[in-house]
Amino acid sequence: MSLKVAQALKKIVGEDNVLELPEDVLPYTLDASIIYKGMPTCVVRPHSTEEVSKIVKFANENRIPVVPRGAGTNLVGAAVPPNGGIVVDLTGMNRILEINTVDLRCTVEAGVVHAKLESELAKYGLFWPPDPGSSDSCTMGGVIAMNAGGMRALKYGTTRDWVLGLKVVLPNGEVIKTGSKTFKGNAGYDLTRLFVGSEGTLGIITEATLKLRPIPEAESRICAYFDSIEKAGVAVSKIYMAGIVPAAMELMDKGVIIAVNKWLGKKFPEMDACLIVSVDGSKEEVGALANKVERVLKESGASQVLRATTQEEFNEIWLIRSEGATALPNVTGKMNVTHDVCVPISKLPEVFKEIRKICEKYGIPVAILSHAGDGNVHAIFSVNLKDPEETAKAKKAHDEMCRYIIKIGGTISGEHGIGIDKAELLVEEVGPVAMELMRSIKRLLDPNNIMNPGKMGV
Amino acid sequence: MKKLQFCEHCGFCRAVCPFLEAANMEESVGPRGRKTLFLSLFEGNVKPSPRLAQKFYMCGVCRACAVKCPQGIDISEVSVQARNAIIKANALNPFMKKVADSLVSGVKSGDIFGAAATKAKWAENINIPNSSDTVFFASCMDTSMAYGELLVDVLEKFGWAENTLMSLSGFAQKLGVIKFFDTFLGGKNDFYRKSLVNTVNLLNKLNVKFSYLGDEEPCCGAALHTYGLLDEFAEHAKKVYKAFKEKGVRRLIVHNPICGGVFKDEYPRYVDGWDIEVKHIVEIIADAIEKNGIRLRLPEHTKVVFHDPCYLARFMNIVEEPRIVLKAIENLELIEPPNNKRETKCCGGGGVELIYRDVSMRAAVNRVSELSIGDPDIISSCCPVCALMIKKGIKNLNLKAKYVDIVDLVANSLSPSS
Repeated sequence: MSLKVAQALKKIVGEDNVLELPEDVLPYTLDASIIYKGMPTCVVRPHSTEEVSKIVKFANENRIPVVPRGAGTNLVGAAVPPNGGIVVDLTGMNRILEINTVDLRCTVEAGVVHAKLESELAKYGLFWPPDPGSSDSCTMGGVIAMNAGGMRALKYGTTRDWVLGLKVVLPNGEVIKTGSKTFKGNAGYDLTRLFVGSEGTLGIITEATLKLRPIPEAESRICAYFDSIEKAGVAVSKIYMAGIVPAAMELMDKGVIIAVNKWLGKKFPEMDACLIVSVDGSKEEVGALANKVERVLKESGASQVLRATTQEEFNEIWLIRSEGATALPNVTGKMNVTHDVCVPISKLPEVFKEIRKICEKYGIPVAILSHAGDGNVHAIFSVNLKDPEETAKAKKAHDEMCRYIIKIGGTISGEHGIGIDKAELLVEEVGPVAMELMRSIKRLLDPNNIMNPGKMGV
Repeated sequence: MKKLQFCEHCGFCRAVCPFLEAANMEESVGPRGRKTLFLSLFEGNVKPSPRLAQKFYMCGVCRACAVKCPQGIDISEVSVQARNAIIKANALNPFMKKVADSLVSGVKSGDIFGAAATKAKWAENINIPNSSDTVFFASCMDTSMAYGELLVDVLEKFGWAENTLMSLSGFAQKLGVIKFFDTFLGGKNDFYRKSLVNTVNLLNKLNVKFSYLGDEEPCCGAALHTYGLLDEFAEHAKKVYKAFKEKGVRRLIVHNPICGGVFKDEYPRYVDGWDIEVKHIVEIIADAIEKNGIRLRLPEHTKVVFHDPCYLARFMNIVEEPRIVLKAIENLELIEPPNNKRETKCCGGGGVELIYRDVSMRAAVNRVSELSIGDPDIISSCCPVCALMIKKGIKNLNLKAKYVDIVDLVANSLSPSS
């Protein structure tokens, strides 16, 4: 079977672009979720939408699972083939097709690396706001299929808000274009938004047209330490109530600060939480905004407020954020298992408290790193994944946390998506009727269930 | 290797691997793919094979991944260990076995290219005080790289099969054809050797007392290490150390950062009690500039971009000194390329050029494209392999820029009175 599949695929993409030996395909068994695995029957590396179309058509006719893959940086198992099948590696389709500085848009192929696009756009003074942490490696196809977020989401929104149109290969091999090249678009159902975040279950995104913005002239960062994480949570709301929309509000708890101090030999105050607020805009605007932010933070009970005035201070402050996740495993000796939930910002104080309580109950060390400005909380569990008992406990703690989040009106994923990781939990959030509607959409587009099967609970 | 357990499979290393980029981002030849294959190899899920070898030998051991990795995991070392396991399982293809044999015999003979007989000729008429426990280590890569370059040129021009080339190279060594090359190709003053002459002249000018071991200078064995011939490397390193001790060597001055990097960073791991200080010539020049303010001046305005060799920046941890040197030269406008200092990008060499010439060449072209961004007149560096690859990249891209070693730039900038 696998031999025949490889032969057919070689006819489409050429000998060199089909991988079938264990030495070639083993690296495709994993993604950044680490825990989910699956051995591909073969890996195919197309270089055009036409080739992708032929691959999918062949797979559909032969009922073979198809798993699209970019850089494999997602955290929920979305790019692994648990049931085998053809992994479609899109990293070879890496051309930026257009940067239009007048219409403020660009068109890219799926395999373009996010950071590469960012640096190309910067040459024209433009940027595409979503900024996933994996920017240096992740591909735009993956960013869009996973509806990635990032730190700027509180001001600019997530991927879904910045995609104007897509080219998609449907599960039967047909190619469609969704959306438009315009900033507004109101023609029919919004298929673009359906495919953004569809995690490869409805088709393969091969091209995308993206909305751009000029890079803000200036940015300022203010860092505040609080003696309780709840106070820091309240401060987030107060900043909005003062009429300020920052570019980012990042919260790190004591666990993260202590780890960074140990890892880098720093002396950041080891208080219960640290909140870094970033404001952007014109130079004048930013100065005034930063003053206001400082005042609000002090009024919110911050024990210490620091403002970066030099680039060195700017970078120094940011270490707690940028090195936080790195420092943890080096200090705990265990793996980071990063979870992703999102709540209304008013709920942040109680959510922080409850997550700590749940983890304490299961004996799982937890550190909190949060894009607090949009209510997105990453609870980083420290787990020895080689210990099945500990791993099972961590899973229980995770599920209990997710159920609590649903109960208080939050969502089980702010930006990482569902994948395999939360496939079973999704129905608990959206309810059986909405879940069935999602499955109907899936069946309508992909009656043979070939596209990334086993993901998203559909 | 103990940190491999912390790998989160985040894929950040994908962003910086020059050979992954040159291989069109195919996961299995990137650092993260290598990690998966390495673990699979030791868990018995994949067997040592020539195909597996390809994955680990398409790595330049440049350590870019180690700098980028949030956990500091060095996949270059993973490649070296995997190569060792593959060699021990006797799973290299015949050509790669031949390369291994040739490296072992070359290193043992005292010259990686088997040209030990002529390697000290460059120093025949040069004033070397030979009165110090500080030794200038000329490096067989520098003294004999012209032969290596010639062999590769022949191969590229005539498209000879690798096997034939390696046999020819061995044959040439045996028959003393190298001597013939030496006579007819101006061996004494070839492109690479003139940097050595300039280094020695500079050391004299700076009143540094030093010796040169001449024919008795051993090969550092770096190629054994990177090729995964670790037992051979360990044995060789111990011998080299013993020889140094017998000659009373306490300090080495290198021009080739590959030898320097291996002496400074690998020898302490393989040789008990390794206590020999290692200095790169740019450190000595930079020190002299800072202390004595030597006047350096190029005759006309020249734009120079400096390429940090991996071994200088990431093995020897030297990044500021070349800049101190270049900034001290009047009329020299220094351009910083993308990916500089510790984040430098490999020239495409690192041993990959011996086996996978297409991928190596693409990596060279990628790097030289970056280096040419500011439209430099000169691309400068200080490593014979970088020189070889950058020259190839310049030719391939048809650039006007010339490759000039940093030592040669300094030599050209010295006024007769200084």
